[in-house]
Amino acid sequence: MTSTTQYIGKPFKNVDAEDKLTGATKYITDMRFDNMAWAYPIFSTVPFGAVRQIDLKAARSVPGYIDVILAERIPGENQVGVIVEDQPLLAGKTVRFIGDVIGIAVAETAAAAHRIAKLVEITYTEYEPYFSIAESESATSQFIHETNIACSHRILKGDPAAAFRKSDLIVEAEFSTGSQEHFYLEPQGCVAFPEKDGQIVVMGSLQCPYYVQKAVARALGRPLDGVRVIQAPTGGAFGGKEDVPSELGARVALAASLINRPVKMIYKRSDDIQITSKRHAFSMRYKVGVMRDGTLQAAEITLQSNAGAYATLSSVVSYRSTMQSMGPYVVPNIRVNSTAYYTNLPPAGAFRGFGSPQVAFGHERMMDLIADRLDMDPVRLRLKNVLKVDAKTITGQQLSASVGAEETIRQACRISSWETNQATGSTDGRYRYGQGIAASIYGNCLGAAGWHMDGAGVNISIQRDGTVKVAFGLAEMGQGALTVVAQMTAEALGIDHRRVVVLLTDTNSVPDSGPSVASRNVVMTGNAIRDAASKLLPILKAAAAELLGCGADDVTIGSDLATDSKTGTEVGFAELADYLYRGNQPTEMRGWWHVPQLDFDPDTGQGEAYFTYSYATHVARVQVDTLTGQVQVRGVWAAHDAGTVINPAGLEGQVEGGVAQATGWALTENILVDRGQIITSNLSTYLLPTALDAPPVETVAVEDPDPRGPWGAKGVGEPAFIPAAPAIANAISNALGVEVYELPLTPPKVLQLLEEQEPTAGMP
Amino acid sequence: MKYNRPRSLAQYFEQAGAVPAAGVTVLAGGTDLMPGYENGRPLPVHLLDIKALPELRGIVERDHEIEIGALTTIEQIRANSAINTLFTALVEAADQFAGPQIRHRATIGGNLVNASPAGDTLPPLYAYGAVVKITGPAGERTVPLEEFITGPGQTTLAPGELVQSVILPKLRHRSLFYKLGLRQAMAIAVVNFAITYAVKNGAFSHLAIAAGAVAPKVVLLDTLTEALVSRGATIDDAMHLVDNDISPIDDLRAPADYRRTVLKNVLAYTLRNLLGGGNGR
Repeated sequence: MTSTTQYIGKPFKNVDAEDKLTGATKYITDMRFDNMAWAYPIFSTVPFGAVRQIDLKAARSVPGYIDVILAERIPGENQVGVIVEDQPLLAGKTVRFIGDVIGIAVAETAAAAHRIAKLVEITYTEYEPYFSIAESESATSQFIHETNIACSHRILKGDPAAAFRKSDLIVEAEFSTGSQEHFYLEPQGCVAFPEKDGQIVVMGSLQCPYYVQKAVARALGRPLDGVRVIQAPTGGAFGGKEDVPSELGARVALAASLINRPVKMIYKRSDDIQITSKRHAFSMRYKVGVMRDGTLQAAEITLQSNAGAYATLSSVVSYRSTMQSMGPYVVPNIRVNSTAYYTNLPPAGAFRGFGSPQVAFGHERMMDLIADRLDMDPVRLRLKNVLKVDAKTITGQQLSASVGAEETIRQACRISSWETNQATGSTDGRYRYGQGIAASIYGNCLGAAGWHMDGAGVNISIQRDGTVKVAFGLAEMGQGALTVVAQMTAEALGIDHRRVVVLLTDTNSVPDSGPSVASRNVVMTGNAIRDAASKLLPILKAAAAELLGCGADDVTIGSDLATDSKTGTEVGFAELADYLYRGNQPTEMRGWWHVPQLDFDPDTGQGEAYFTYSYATHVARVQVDTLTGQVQVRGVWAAHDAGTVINPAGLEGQVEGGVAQATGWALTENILVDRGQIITSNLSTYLLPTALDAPPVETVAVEDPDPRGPWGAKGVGEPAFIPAAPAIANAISNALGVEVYELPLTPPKVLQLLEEQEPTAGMP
Repeated sequence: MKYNRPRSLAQYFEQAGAVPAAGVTVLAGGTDLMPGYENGRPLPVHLLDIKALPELRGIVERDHEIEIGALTTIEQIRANSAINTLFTALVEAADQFAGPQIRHRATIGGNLVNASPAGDTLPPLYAYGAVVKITGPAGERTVPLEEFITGPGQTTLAPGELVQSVILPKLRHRSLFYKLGLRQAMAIAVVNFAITYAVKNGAFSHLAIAAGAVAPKVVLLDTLTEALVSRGATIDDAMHLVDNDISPIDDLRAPADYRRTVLKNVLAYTLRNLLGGGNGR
């Protein structure tokens, strides 16, 4: 499929990498505007309570004081919930977590705004807070919202009860996974400035400009055309800048419109950690019935997630985890129930994988537990049950094409020399060594739950000198979007990629293209580029035919040339562009693509959950120090089916970054909370992996093209993360000869596992 | 906030003497001070930047000792050939100290004055029997390191005084350093220790062990070493004596029990290896 492509499948370094590395890139923190004021959130210091009184006396005395804005001054709706309308922009009466924003301090300097925010005296009537799922679930009154349940999802397929009765073996286990902080390098930040024409412009470090546009319009009570959102260069997001910038954007826009000056707000790191969303912590119960030969028969799965104080994206996280709860395997009879519970913790939201890493830990630990009980090779068990073309998923969706799951298992085993490295529990006295494997599935784009906004656009404009401007509706946030958009545009128009300039996202340029999430940029934007190109190419061919004196059908376009295929005469693209202008021909076209309609029944969880799926398998090898419980991940071997790979260098970067981030989630990143206050709120206590902790990664692409993807491509940004942690956990289990049921596996926990296994291990 | 950068000790004492001592904050590498301000510590009234004081610089080797100026960076310690030859544990501690950027700024004087129970250079300095040279308006004095640090963040430094250098007596003994951080770099020690030792006929003829992050200050495990050296106890039998000298606490890095267990696990393993016992388990 890609054999004739010029740019697709060739490695490109990211077009913005050099500026970022040299410090030339201007981020929100670097931007100054004339007469700019600063804002800072005033937030709750109690986890759950009613605001009784707000005293501004001390705050008003701070030099540089401009304003303190409270809920009653919001001209529009005091609502910022992205799916469920449960989250006020400024909490007026009830506060539901430490970090719930009550007001906005506005001052002449950032330091004064911080100080004002600290000096606002708020008295509360406190309620008994709920922090754990169990506490939230058992509540009988004083709920966090109307109820403590944020959302629920289910699947029922076949007859699980009967299938369990027929099963030769039933394996049951409970698992839990921890929360995780995104720790994007650049903290949350936005600036808003009122324009003379009454429009308000918001620039920000964000991944979903149209979300911010809607939130600002809603809060200010304005039409969408009164709000323009421009994405600033964004220093990492990972889902953490999906819905949260809507809050910041609406708050700075409110302040800017009230004082009629530009206003900037940047969260300090420790506050960013306290206030903004995290990965959902999960509790999971798995019961799986299997035949003696390893064929999966039945599964019953209960998923519980800690949603924190507001629903934000919990309903779609819960949806995705439900649909993917048994991974890339065929299970003919299955019941899944998933519930997200409100608690008085910071809201859980979007984070790379979006509910997938948690269930991947569940289903991949289960596969190892089953393999162990059947005394069967874990790879063979996976291969026996893996999804293939024509097989049905747990939602009853028959897969028609691009199912590379089996090949990812085989390739991960091949490049890791799985067979010859059966290091089971090997030891040299102090250290033990093990290897683990994990496979995963990832539904591309938003799925049935988000189909109504699963369209995206581009605007391609050929300029007179032959340069080509591309505006797109999704966002660059470090994942390499600008680079693949340039590649795909050059490929689609048959031009030199150096002609292509891709613009940062601006709501004025392209219609609402939905959120930049769900690993959807390549698929959505790529198809939109092909749509726009299909409108430009006939115009280019007709113009070339005139210039070359041949029929339009004889013109081929490629390699930056239009060629008369009969005579071989050529005209360069720059000349062609100029000719278009001289002939007053159209030179700009919009492209649009939406995900095919999905047939899905939410009551049974049956139908087309997503239009296609990406697959991945990782093998991890670990060394465990039996004296300290420290785990060193010695390597990860990753095989990914992302369909046709657009930029192999980008894919490799995604996988290496995903593995590093998942290594942290698996081993060291441990959010500790004391009565709703996060106490691991800096880089010395919240332990991200360093370059020395991140394992070496070897990646192989299993290219099983999807006919609906551009050039056959699918997404890879989140799949890069998903199988790594369960592979590491399986490797630890393999090294120690004990089962593991929770993440993170910090050194004290690993030492505990060792002590359980041999009671004397704790003592020398 | 007022900021001065004196160019000599005399100038320092003059500037420091002009303000009430309680109002003076000393800045050297800044690697402890600056994150404190980021975390909300009130800004100092008067900041005296001592980086330009020539009297606090340099590493001097003499017949029986080596004197390390307080402003010597961790990186300079790592790179110094005399220290590399004589004080292996200190070099190993410098190797595992934070990360490259911090090692180039942080000073050994700062690590002493900061007096963190987990400071990485402290266990080697304790094990070597280091002496701290202090300078003040009234002149110089020297204090054994063990007496210099009195508690977490607490020293005997009087107002107006500075640590000028740390003096290490040259030992014939070998030494080593161990650190457990919860990741491979940029980690505050959960347990660290330094050992100086000599082995004769399969037993320790000399042994000093200083352990960090297991008590309010670095502690010498004298009960253990005395049992091993003077009373000929076996490692297995003596290891429980460690509990007499340490008093670890639970904090957000690790539980007390974990620190206690890991210290004993790794110490026993290390001591066995030193005696040629091979794999420690």
